[in-house]
Amino acid sequence: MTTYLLKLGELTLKGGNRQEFEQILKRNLTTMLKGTRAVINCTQGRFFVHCEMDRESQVEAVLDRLIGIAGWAKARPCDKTVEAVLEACTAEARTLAAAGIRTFKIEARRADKSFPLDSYGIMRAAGDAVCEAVPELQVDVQNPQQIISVEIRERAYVYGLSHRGRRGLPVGSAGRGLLLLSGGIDSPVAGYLMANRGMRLEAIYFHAYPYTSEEAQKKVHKLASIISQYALPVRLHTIPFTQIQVRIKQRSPEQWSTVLLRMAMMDAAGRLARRNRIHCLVTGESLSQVASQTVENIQCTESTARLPVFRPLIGTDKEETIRIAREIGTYETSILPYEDCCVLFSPAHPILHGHIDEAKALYESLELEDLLEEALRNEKIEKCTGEDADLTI
Amino acid sequence: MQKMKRTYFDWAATTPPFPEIKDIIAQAPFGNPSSRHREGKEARQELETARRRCAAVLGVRPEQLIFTSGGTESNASVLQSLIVRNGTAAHSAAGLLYGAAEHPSVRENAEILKRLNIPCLPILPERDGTVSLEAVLNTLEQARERNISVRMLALMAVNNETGAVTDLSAITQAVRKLPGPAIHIHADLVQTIGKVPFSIKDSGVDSAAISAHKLGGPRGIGLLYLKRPIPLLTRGGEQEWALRPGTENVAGALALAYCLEWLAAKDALEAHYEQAARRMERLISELHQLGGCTLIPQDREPRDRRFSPYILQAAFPGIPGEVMVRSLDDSGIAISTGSACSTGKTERPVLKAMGIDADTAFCAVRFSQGWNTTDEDIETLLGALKTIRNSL
Repeated sequence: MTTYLLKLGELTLKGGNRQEFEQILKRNLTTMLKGTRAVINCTQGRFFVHCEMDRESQVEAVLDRLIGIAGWAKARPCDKTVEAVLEACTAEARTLAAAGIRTFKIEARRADKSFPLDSYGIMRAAGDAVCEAVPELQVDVQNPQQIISVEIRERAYVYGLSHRGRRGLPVGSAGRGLLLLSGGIDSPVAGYLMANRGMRLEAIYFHAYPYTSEEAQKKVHKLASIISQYALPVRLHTIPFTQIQVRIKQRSPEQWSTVLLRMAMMDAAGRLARRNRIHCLVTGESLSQVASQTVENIQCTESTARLPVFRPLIGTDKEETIRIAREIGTYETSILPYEDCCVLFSPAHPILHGHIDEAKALYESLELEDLLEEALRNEKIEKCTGEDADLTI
Repeated sequence: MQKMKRTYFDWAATTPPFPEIKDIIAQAPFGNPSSRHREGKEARQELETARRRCAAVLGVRPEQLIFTSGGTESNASVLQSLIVRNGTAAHSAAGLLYGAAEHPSVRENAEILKRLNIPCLPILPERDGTVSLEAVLNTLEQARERNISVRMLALMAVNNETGAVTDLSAITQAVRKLPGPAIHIHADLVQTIGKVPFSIKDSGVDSAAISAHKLGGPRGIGLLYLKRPIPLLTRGGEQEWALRPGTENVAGALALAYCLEWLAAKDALEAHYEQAARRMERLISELHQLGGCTLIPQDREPRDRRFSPYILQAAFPGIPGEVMVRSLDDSGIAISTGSACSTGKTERPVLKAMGIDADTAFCAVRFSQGWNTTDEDIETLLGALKTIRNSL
């Protein structure tokens, strides 16, 4: 049996709501650990996860993706004798020293009062033992680089927090958002960042078959599935948008087509969100990254949303976005060569600073009401889970 | 759900196998032809029988045929022989001339050679996609001016994307007459053998590539014709005169022999060619009537000896090639945007080399038919194209 200890981060700041946050975290962890036969133990503000040795890699993968913890560590369980505890402490200290740690302190808790040393006694004895056995490490009780913890419970556990967690707030603790998922690099990252603030996501994808391929749709499904590994299962709404794109191409000045298309997407997403009691829209827009994302054009596209639009990447550099995309594992899928929008609908010289009044007038003249409602009626809903994260496209 | 009837117009990518192939493969001896026991000897005998059968159909000597894994390997191994030839010499390297509209197995290997400091010059095709003798001679002249000693010329007889037929015999004859060191002439015959009248011997080429799966055979087997043995790069065994090491694919060789006998024998080939030409004539004439279709090249006639009747490249302006592929696929018809080896890439290097503008190339697709294509198939295709044109 292997035991992991989870350290809660920002959760501890949440005062009165703490219990609620912990419950959500526990629920998320339970969902994510399904199939691993791991057991979660939550006592006195500590999360322990116990699993069979052959499930370690699965459980560690879950802990690596769990949003809402500051870090986690594999605990060294040992016999409840002073010798065994000191030996486990020095073993942990050697691991820390090898990882470049130079200062430490020992923290101890004695839940089982039959143990011969009290908490203070354990700290002193273990500190001495470590200093003697691992001379690279020095005690620093004020500001240690690493803490070695000892817990005397039904067994004795020794651990240092060796893995950094994703931090943030547990998914589901901060309402629901509808992510406009395109298949590019940005939108999955935007979704992940909102999930990291505790938002539960649904996703919407606008499919323009046959102008965009089935592969593009599969790619979006896969991206939603990768996000779901962090953000719990994501409901993906695929909206057939071909008729709307064709209408825009037929009725509007070419240079405006991208902005008008995005207005239509925001319109559809806003309607869908409100009907599903979702509180906001989330997009991967980054200021002036492309023509449709200048501040004037964002003003135009937002005008049809009628809900708050969150853009976590608005001030982010593309390189930073790519770094996150690589880290969460969406990048390789995002760069597959299946475009989400046919170039046929992309003007060679799109308008850069559209005027809101003109945009609204043009949008009105498209008379999209019926087409939008029909598209929403024909939506396809899929539940994207981590199981599809390895989907071959 | 009832399975939709499919109509196949992507024969240049691969062909449906002859039904007999399954049995031929199942019944082929399993032994290793290099083994000395009875099983091995039996396999050796069958392999050599297959080689003789292929040679008889192609009008060459059996020892001039090497079984390979297919067209790509045959093309690549000939080009890579320049590496062996050049050795480690840094100067006066033997150079390559190759068609700018060749299959990736030629173009991309030329890129490798360039990185190894072997000079490689592309020959631009004419606007109709063929490679003219004049262009070959001009490029040779350019090479001479740059002090490049050209030792190899690689061209395809029938272009896999446009069907353009290059007169290799004329080029070979003229190049042979030039003064200076001999130039090895390699022909990519993957879209030629079994489809378009062509004599390897009469053409005078030094090597050629043939693939079985374009001829109703299985994947993973093809031929490299070598007029005379040349040192190739791969090492690892004595098989195929040590030119193509690796345990021989006896079953594949027998299957290929069968396909060649069916398709490359003169009478069958001419009969199929005539039928294909007739169907292509109809397809092109009706595409003209349909309107909104630009043939590539535009001046391709309904019956046009400059092109293989098995391949047609055409653009439908306003409908991206990929969109046309998807729409036809939904109507039960399989076509492609070009070489299957280039799918997924947005550029169309072959069309670009022909001077086709980017907008037209973007909307271009390839229709390719085979010996089994019927008039009804052509009708189905035209009907679907009409519907799609009206709806998109």
